[in-house]
Amino acid sequence: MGVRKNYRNLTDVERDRFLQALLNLKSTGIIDEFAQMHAQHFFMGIHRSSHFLPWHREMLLRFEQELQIFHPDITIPYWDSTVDNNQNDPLFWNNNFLGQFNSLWRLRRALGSGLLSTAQAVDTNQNRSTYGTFWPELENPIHNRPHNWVGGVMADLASPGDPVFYLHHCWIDMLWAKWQLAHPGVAFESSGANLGLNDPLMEWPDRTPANVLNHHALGYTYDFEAPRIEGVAAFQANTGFLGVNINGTPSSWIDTDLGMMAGTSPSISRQE
Amino acid sequence: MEPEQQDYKAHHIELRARDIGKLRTFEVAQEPEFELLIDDKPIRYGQLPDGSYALYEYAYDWTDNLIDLAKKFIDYRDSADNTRREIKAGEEN
Repeated sequence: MGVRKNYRNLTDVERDRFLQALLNLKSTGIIDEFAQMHAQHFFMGIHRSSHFLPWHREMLLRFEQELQIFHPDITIPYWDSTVDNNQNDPLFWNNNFLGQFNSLWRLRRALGSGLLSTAQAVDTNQNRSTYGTFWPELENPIHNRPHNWVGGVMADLASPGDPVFYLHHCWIDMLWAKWQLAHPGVAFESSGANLGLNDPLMEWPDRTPANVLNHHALGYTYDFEAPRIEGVAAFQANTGFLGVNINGTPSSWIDTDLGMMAGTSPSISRQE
Repeated sequence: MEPEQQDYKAHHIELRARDIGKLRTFEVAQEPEFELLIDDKPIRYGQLPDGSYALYEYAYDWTDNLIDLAKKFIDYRDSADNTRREIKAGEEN
């Protein structure tokens, strides 16, 4: 079970491994493929719809699986832009971490362009009681603002071309997971035709929001869930459940905390 | 939507009707009916599921009015250019 954590808590080894994997995915064209895919579907229901959160959860999971081909212990770290909101932050933006990609990949960042959301705004959003009131506010402004604040590629349709995209969306996914755990059993609400719980996600017709509601079933947890990780370890020891298999074998389990159905991880296949 | 022109902060914004017949001839009818131009340069845009507009190059600000969106893009672009200049000046000093 992979644990996604704040980038600040990465060890030197984890940070270096993540950076090397990003460079590898760029060199093999995978990052550009993800950027192109996002741009292609941008106006087709992956934004400003009830599929926004599930589509990006699936995308992030697939990207993480690509990273894990480079090293199986990699998980995507997250960037909490309500806390790390300084463009001069030496840890995040310097050339030992994500700063190096700006010139290397010609990302044209303009850090500090526009506003970021506050922790208070996130707290307010976390208290929304229905999915239909939660996701629109999480998407805009909470999700939108950091795209513009970073600027350049991050502000355009092909934003996954900037590695900051994955850390930002990991945070958004974490906020969804946190909200789900705080609101067990709250139903998914469709925002329109073909955007329901069992409607296929763009790009992956065999995947639906129902497949990704339970992030534990997808093989990862977040660091804020630390106490339950011990429970997961015990669960694994008792049942033999080993989590997501990166070579594509589906794995599944039922998570009563999330009050939802079992999920399955996607399988990725790539020609070597 | 109607064809429209406005000047904003020394920039010229224009919403120009496309020749739909020509578009059909070339089988690109999925192109929007109106072309958005800033200083005579085409600005690509699209519509989200709720009908609001977003620009390809400035994709995370959504409004129902394309001219307003063009103005916001101009402001954003100016701000981002200033930021880049400041960063470059800081690096040189």
